Amino acid sequence: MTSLRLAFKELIHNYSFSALFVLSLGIGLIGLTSLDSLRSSIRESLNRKSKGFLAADLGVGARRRLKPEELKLISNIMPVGTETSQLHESLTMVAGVSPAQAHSSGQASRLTELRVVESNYPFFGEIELERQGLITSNSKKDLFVGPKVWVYPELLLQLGVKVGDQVKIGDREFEVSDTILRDSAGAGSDVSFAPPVYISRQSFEATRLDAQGSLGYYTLLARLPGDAEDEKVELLAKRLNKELNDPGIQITTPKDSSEQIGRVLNYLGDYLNLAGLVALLLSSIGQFYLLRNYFSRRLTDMAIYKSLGLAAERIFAIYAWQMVLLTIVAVVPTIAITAWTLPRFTEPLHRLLNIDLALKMPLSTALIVATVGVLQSLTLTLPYLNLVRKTKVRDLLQATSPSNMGAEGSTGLSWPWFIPAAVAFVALAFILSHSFYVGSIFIAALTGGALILTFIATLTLRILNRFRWSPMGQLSLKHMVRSRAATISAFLALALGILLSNLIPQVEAGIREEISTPPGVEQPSLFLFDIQDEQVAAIKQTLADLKVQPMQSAPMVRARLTQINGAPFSKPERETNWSREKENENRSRNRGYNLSYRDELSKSESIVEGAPFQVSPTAPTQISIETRFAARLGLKPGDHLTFDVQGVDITGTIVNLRKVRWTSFQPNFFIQFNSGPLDLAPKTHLITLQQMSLEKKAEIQRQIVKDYPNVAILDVTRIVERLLSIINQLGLALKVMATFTMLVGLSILFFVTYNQLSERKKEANLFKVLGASEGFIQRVFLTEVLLLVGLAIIAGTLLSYLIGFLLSYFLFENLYQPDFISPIYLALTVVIVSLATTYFLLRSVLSDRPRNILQSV
Amino acid sequence: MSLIIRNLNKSFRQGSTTIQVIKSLSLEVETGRTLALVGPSGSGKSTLLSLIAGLDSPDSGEILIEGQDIAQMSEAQRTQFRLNNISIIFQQFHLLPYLTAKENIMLPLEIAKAPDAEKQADEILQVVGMTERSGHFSHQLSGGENQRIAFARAFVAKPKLLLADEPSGSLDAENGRQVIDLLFDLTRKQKTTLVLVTHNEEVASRADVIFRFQVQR
Repeated sequence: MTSLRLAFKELIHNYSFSALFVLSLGIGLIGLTSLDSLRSSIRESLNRKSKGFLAADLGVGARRRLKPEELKLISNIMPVGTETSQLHESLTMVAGVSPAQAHSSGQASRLTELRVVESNYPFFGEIELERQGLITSNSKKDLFVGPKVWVYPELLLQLGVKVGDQVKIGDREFEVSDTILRDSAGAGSDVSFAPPVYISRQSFEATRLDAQGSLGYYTLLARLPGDAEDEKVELLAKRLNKELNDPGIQITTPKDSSEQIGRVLNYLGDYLNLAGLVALLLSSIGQFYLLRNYFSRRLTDMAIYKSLGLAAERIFAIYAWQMVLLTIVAVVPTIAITAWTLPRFTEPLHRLLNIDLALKMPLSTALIVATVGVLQSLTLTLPYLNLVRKTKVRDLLQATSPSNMGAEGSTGLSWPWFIPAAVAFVALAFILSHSFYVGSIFIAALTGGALILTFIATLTLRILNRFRWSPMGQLSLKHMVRSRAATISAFLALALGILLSNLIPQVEAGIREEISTPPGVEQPSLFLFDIQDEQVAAIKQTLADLKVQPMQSAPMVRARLTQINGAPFSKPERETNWSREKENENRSRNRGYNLSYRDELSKSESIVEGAPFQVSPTAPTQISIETRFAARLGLKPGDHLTFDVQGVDITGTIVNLRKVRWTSFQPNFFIQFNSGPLDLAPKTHLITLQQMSLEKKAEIQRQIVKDYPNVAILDVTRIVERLLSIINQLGLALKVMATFTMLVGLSILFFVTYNQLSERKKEANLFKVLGASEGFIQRVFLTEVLLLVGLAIIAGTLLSYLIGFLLSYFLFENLYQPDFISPIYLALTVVIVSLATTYFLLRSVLSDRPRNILQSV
Repeated sequence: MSLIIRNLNKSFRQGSTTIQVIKSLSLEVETGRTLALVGPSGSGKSTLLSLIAGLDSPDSGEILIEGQDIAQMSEAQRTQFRLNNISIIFQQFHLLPYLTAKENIMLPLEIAKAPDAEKQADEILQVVGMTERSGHFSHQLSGGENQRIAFARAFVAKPKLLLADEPSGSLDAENGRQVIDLLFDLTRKQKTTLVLVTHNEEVASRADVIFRFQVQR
């Protein structure tokens, strides 16, 4: 225990270092603690509600009706006593038929998500209705007594009807019998995009939408007998997944359901975690600097310990204990503060993001944070601990003064000892982003950014140092150039914080612009889909009568991928996927596909590999694949794909990979055939219409809903609005994290400055002894901070513009939206805060008595 | 520059105890003369040095340097007075680690905004025999070399009063003898008044006046 006692005493003696180290580690860990707690709270909340999301223990679904043999197989696999209920969801137009509208120019209509249910729906969770109260599986439901529907209040407003009025769905009118206040299964539905409408199965048949070819998703919901444990459900899901070998059939457990709902939040969480990791990195930079200074002063102590006969391992243990003690002191308050603060953000978060969850910090987060903290401290200390081995007692005899041991640049660190810290950081990037791809890009960008910034700083300072400045300027520059560790640590911490703070608004502006007004491509105004083969000509005629020309028309053929290069394409086994790439790959494999065909590329497409289609009556079957989809399934030009199209096998060769700008909202498909091979396949059609006035839009909608009730109409403007609102929310979360990172950067600058000024008290006193006034000394230090901060602002901001430009070039088709105003505000804030804190810190330096510089008093 | 100290008193508080370090001290050094302050550790030698340098204020008494009482000056006036008249040499050299030898020497001239700092630094480097080492940093120099640079920094400003706090205290005998020779040589050439704190009787004996301190009981 001698080591622990000595470790403790030394830390107490060096209280300034201890305090700064604890603060820099604590502030770096706060982001990670909050984010992991947020993620856990979301997961816990979703898991708690998961059975309600699915409304069952298990669901078997497809974009077609399940065949009788499939239903029989499911029934055989399910345990005796299992109850089932069929659910059919489809995007369908609903039109208002209020008495008032009977006299007006026509009906208002709206795209809705029609939920066709049976009387025992929902097995789990509940629907809260305004008149009938809570509806569960056993409740009596008026939906099954006559043609009635339940709708969300928003729909009533949009259609101009009220409860008791009629709405038209397909060929049939229905009475709105109640409004939905809350729906446990609707938690993931986007009410503003397509509000759900409940209808009974019997009533739905009367709409004749099914007969007219309306597409949708069909699910067989199951309630297992007794208490269905997660493991039992998962085993059953695995078996069903194996036996039902059509990749188009998906088995959903409550866990899958909650994961699906939480997917967007997961992605957001991944990126927020990376911002948190940047904050942790900045704090590591601060720690690196503090440790460097601390250990350069500990070399003498190490030599003294050795001269007293303390074994190297014991000395090693003293410093390892110090790191553990400091980490505990940093982690405990961090955890306590987060645990106390988080629940207080539940209400504001709910108001801001409309997310209903109870924020709290789980024990697992505390353990993760403690592990990361200890790991960070120990790996950063490792290179210095190695100095124990290198320090010789004879150094004590030879050192003319303690400062000669461990002078700037002479700590004798070997860089390989930093490898564990680097490896830990890279591993953390992969773990936190849940992606090798995103993690690698992040590490590469961060390393590249840090190297470029260091290069810029070193070069600029060297160039500036060549010119002749005032004595103050010269002293400041020389100190910065020659105290590299301190300068680069503070500079990097600040510049990276500025870079991130400036970059996020730029990227957000780019995405916003790309979605709302993508350059070079005209965004359609309306999407008409579920159009049957025989309706195409008539609809085109109707549109022509309304003086509207369709922008594009695309056929859509449902198919199942059965072979790749002759080898059977099997659906993946159910497994927990750690990485987002694997998750995406499995999702891509585990589905049926919509194929389309045309010979020419649209304006939103470009070939990145391979050749365009050969167009001739005798041309072979050619396929074009979207690049990211190809990457997920490992496809390349020359590969042969076989599809099962309604029982007929069609084999084609991939001739090119295509890049698609999905934000153009033009009809694009992952898999595109040349014209010919699919001409006779059963299909539906999709028609897009150009931008038009609101009145014209309403007129078209009324006419189409009236004449073709099975055709669904999607208003692209609404989707764009909804996406922009999501981007706003995501952007806000990322901005909060970037601001936090900026604050960490500023804190590190503060810690480094504080440490530097404490170390340089002697220097300030020497200046006084040499006859320099307080004003002179103040100006020397302030000039130095101003230079450092100015350089960090310029380099960080310029690099953010460069990265912003590169991101926009590669990701957003060269749409660059630089923001020149917010960086100015940020720069001013950083300069004012830095100068003010330095000025405040300088007071204690200047108040030190210059006589202390003399050997003894 | 003459130095006259009259009835000087200085005490420090350590917890609840007051330690009288200097009690009713009076002494006088004429311009261009050397004074050695000798005595055991804790007897108040360095305290007297810091009072003469204006780094600290006495409780009472006068410190007249060329007739001006530094004890009565404001902080700013003392700083200015020091800049124009006084240089100090330390046992631990106190060179700025991020400046080269030459830059360290130029520092007082630059603070005083002297126009030919570099030329003067080159000249004094030659005088102290350190021209070859002008571009080196403190940690690249030996103890003796560091002290030579510290001497050069002190003399380059052509001070009228030089205060030296055990200048050979950190050096071996040979190096110590060499730097003390250099110190007396430069002092004589520049006609500087020197106040030297030392434990070394041999060094003290080279001064014109020796003032012996005793520990107050």
